[in-house]
Amino acid sequence: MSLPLLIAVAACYLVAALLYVNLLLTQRSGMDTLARRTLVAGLLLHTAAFVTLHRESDSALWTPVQDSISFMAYAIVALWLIFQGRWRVKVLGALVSPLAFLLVLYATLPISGHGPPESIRSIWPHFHILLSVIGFAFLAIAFAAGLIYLVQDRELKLRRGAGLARVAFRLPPLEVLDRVNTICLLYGFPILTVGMIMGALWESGRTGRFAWEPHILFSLAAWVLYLLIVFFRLVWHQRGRRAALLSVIGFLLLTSSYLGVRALGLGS
Amino acid sequence: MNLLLAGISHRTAPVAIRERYVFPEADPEAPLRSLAAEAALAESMVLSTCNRVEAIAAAADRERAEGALRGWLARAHGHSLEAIAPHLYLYEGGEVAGHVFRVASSLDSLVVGEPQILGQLKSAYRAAGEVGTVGPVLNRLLHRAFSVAKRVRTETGVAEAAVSVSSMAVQLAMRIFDTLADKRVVLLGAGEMIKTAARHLRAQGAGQMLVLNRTLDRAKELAEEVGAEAGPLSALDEALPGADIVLASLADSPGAVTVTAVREALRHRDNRTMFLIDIAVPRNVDPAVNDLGNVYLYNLDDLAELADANAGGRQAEAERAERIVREEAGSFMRWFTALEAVPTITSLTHWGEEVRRAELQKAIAALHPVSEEQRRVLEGLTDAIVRKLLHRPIARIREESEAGQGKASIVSARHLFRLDEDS
Repeated sequence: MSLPLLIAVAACYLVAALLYVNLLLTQRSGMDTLARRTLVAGLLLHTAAFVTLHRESDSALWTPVQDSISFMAYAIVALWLIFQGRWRVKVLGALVSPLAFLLVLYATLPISGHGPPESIRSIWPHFHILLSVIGFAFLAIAFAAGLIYLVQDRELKLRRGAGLARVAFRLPPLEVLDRVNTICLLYGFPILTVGMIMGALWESGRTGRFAWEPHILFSLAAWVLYLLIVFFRLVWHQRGRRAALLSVIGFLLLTSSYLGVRALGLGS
Repeated sequence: MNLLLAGISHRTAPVAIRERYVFPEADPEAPLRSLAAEAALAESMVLSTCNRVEAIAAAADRERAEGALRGWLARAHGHSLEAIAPHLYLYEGGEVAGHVFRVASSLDSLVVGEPQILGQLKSAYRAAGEVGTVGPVLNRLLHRAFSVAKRVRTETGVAEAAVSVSSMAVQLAMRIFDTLADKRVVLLGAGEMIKTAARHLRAQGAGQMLVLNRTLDRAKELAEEVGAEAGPLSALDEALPGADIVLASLADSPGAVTVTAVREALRHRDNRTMFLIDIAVPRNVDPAVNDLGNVYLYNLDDLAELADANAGGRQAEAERAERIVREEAGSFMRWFTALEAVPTITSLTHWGEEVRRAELQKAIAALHPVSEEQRRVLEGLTDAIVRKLLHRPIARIREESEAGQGKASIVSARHLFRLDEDS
């Protein structure tokens, strides 16, 4: 993927992140529009980056790990831009944009990890990656909502009027955060599940066996945790703080399975 | 005469302590009678609200009166002097006037500028008037206090800037809930606070409201006024699972909402978030309720702290109000200290009048017969002489007393004119 373009994308996401933090701290009107436009600009550049990538190599869209990570950032920003108006959670951008920035930054780093060993003509890996990444993006937004829920909950429980509480007054209400968390979980989990199944089918179809590699184990652990969270919410009627906490832990586990393990060169 | 005030308030004691010293609203005369029974006090009254319990008294013997006030505050609730001592404040003289004026103007309120305190002070004064424990000093003090409160309200922005308890509660609710339209509010109690809060919540678009009160009639009355349903307090356990917001302000009902009841309610409502606001003293809701997940409990102190933190530009208005209070307290104290000169001035005038009458009688007897016209001239003449002669000493005594330095001239006047000798 074209490095200068990617750096421009990262810069856009970083500026958007700063604008969102500014919005959170000052509540200045117009800041929100400015931040959103910066994100849109970043997303357009990001699209251009994918197009050039496709032109350069006709094999696949995202063979190297970096490209799939870059695609994660792309999906998160796109989802966020689609839903932020409807969910009325603008300041969540202060968490989503830095996340996208970090992912793109990560994608620009020269890391030894590599994608599938050879380019495969099969359609499966594409679907595997596409669905996994979209599922991941939903869960990332669930994570952001969960994290902010925890902050808001803590501040409300402490019953203070100073410090962080001044900022907490500008965070979305708990009910909205809980709703966003639930919706993203209920979309993200099934999509991720299908994506993971496709990956497994492709992997076993290619090698004839199922490889129990670290990143697969981590992903599986994260998936089981998310399954529990879905149960927790739907069957046991749990919500609020505990559900938010679990979605934060689930996402950290998922991220470490995907990025961490690969960065350490343990994965395939 | 000495003016004294002893009390505890939100400034010196947290709600957990305060609630032990609050007098039941149901019988405002009982504390007045027990305080008036203290022999040392000439005049007295009691102010007991959610945020303060204060006893105000005028007494001849300062030491004895102070002991009486301290002892009474502790004993009235069966506590020891040691228990109340760290929270107790005692004011005397000008401090009392300043304090009462600040209280009346809502400058000493938990939520500065809230209007309820003036009404509470008025009813405390009315009750004291009915029982007959107030006299000229407290009458004047309280009347001045009411007019100071009026001045502060009209001349400063303190009242407008007031962040009321209910608007603070609504702000908090908006951090918890997306909208109030689909929420159910349960109001416990039917007093002034609940009425204000109910109106506020209605204005913010609160969906359903239910008023529960010990006396069903009052609940119905309020419910009708704000467009809510009404029920008896015994329906609380059934109502709790449906309640997204609970606003509690029941008088004399410590622990009306228990942890068990809220936990049970949460189970029935699938752990949906509950917001409880407890503005009663003593508190209606067990404080441990805040430890439950997805439940947020705020009491009066918490709301006030938040209101304070949110208030920015009220400082200047508060300072202007403080200036009015100082000015008025000074003028009250001039009147009050001049009070000590009053008996001397009265005796002096009496003595003058006695002398004049005696001499007039003698003169009329010697001139006999005297026409009506001549008699009027003599009356006028003697009266003018006595009044003019006494004017200078009396004016000097009054002047010095108002400045708080009347003692010397009072003593010498009584000595020179032999006012303390039986004639």
